[in-house]
Amino acid sequence: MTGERRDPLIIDLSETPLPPAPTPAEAPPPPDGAPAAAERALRGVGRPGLSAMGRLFWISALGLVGIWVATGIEGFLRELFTRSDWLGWGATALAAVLAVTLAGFIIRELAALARVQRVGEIRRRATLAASGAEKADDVLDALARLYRGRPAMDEPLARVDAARPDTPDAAALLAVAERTLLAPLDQRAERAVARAARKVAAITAVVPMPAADVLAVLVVNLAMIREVAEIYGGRAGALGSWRLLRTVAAHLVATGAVAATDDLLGPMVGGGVLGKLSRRFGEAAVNAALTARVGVAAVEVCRPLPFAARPAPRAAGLVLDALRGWRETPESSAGETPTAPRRKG
Amino acid sequence: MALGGFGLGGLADDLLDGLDRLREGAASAFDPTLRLGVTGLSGAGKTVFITSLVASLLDRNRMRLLGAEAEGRIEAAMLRPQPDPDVPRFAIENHLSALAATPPRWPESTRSVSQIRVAIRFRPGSWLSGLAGPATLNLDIVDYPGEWLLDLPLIEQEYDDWAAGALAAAQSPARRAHAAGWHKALAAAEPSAPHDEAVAEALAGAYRDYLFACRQAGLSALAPGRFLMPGDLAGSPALTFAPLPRPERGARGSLYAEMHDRFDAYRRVVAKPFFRNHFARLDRQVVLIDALGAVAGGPRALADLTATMSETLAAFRHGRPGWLDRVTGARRIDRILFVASKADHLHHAQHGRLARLVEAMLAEAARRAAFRGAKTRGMAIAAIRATAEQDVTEKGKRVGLVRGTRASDGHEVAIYPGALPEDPASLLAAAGGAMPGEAPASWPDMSYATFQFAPPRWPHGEGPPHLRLDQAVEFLIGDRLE
Repeated sequence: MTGERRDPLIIDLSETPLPPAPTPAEAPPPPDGAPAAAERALRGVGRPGLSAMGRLFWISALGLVGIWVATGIEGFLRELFTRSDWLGWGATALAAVLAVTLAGFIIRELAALARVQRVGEIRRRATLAASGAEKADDVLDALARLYRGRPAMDEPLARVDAARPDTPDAAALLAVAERTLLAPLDQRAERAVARAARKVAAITAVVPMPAADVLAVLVVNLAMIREVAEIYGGRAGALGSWRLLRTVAAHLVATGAVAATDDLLGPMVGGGVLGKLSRRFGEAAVNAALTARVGVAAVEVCRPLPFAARPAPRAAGLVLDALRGWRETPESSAGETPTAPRRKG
Repeated sequence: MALGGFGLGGLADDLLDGLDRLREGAASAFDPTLRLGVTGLSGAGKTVFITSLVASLLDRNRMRLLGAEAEGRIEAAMLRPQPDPDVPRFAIENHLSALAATPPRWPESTRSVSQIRVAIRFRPGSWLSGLAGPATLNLDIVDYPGEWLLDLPLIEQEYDDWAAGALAAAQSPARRAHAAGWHKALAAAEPSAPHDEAVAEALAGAYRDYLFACRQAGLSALAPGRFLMPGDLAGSPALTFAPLPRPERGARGSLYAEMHDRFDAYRRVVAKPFFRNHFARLDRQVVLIDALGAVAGGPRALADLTATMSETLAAFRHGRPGWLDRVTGARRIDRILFVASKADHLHHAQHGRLARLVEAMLAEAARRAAFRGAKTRGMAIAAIRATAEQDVTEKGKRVGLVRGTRASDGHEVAIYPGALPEDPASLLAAAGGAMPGEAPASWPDMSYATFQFAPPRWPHGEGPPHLRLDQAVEFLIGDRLE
């Protein structure tokens, strides 16, 4: 025993006062090690990327395959030269064209990726600017660079520029930019999401094969993410889309799939009640809701400014719009055909 | 893809209408339920545990180690109508208002069975199932007088065996003194004589007095439980019996034969229905033990509690549910948490020892359950924490005190209840004897104090302060909130 007191001790504080101590309601919890669940919660926030070993593996594998392809082509060209010079030169020219177009592809993908990243960077700086940590003017300049090439954006950009001198407050300036520049884009993006949700619902309700509708939902969702990204920030490219998909998935996980308190449809169909009554319509509604949520997440990820002045879209509203749009003509999307989705996924 | 408008609009409208209509009623019928069995003898703190558990699920600000809450996935919890309409509802409001009264009171001890259902709405943890939207888990909890738990071992016993055991136990040093009155009545009665209701009632009354005296002395083996807490059966023949030595010839109509019949009736109408209705269909179990109280009560109380709990737990269906169980809808308890309650009477430096003591006391039951595939764990918790900790230095030694309000007079008091040994075996060895009753009357070189603290006050709208209740809940239902 380590000098521990053995017999009980009872002190009446009305006789022997002790220094003040917190009440039970204020006292800190005992210093236990956090159990697995809490750790998981912390870890879930930061998604683990590739480990150093995994990265080494992919780099070396890619390098080997590259060398194999290059030496293979080289050997093939040599062989052609031994047969006939004409054949050799022709093939060499084709190979050169291939290399140039490949480089073009890569450059385009990298540019698209950079664009996606730039939108994220603008959003990050806008968040800082709203609290005064960054100059709002710089954010507006970046936004202007992003949208300069679009004819439809010339007029709104000019209006924002006009508002700059007489709006000294950073948050107010950002609000002006959000309302002028992004409001039309928001409407287009919401319409794209609602269209995708409706498409998904229709496909699930009509396509009888379970595996086929899963594939269709995936394709429609990917296309929707690309479309949303294009509306807000220009072409995303394959690499950029993949990256967006990952970001959207991470965003969905981080926000728990939805800001579900405002979500009506989730609990209604989530329990599978409707699914038990009629499997196909239950699945149609679930898939539509799912697509709307993915769409909302995509909007939040792709929008260059966070939702501050304008309300963020709600998944439930989008789903209801989408499903109602089957019959009625929604006022918001005047260009839509009233009956059924017309475009292919 | 040309998707024609063949009635899709109408279908969508029907869909939305149907959803609206079905949302309220039918949705809850398909929600998964989890029945949590709160097991503990009287005084172990079942009612306080359930009250605090329900209040903490409704107001989750102190449940930071419940995984789903830490991840922000629990959206809401509310009380729902319980599934069994013939069982009274657990009076959570009364218990909470007793705790909030001036001065605060602990909830009253339970006198009959009651039930409560908490519905928890959460977002599933994996993002794939998270996309499908929030799910609901119904948590059903039953409260009952702890005395009735003592009836479970009787279900498998015959009158002869039970009577012989009870008679032998009454001769042990721990109980002989309390049994004097009953032994006198026993000597006056003749088991083979014809049944006489007056004699039967005198015997039953004397036996009941003996059980009450044993309980006063801190002993736990007090079957049959309805003798102490009769519920609505007070005075009925099923409760008017007592152990008798087996006569040479137990003729028909003799006192012994009548007692035998009544014991069987007790098993049939009291013990078995109680088990069947409330314990046969549990998914998870928490076993509450006032180990600190038993240690303070001395080796006899500790030995008695250990033996009683071990015997009681044998009645439950532990183990992982097999495919046959799933097909037939049978349930098994696949997680058991052994809890040393009232851990707030002890400084947290000693909580590990307290948890180990409970694990050691129930090692037999835990091994049995683990062998059948159930997960078990020991933990020292306080469902409602009535004390805060304070370290003082006394003659150069640091003493970890717990400080709270004395229940009797409202004075603020700081106590140190004594040092539990690092190795619980030393306590159990000192308590162990051939029979629980044979244990020595006091600890050889230690002493412990128990204490009655008044409940704490906590701000309205918050969950009650507790020690590790969140970890206990995480172990018990955390996997069902994934």
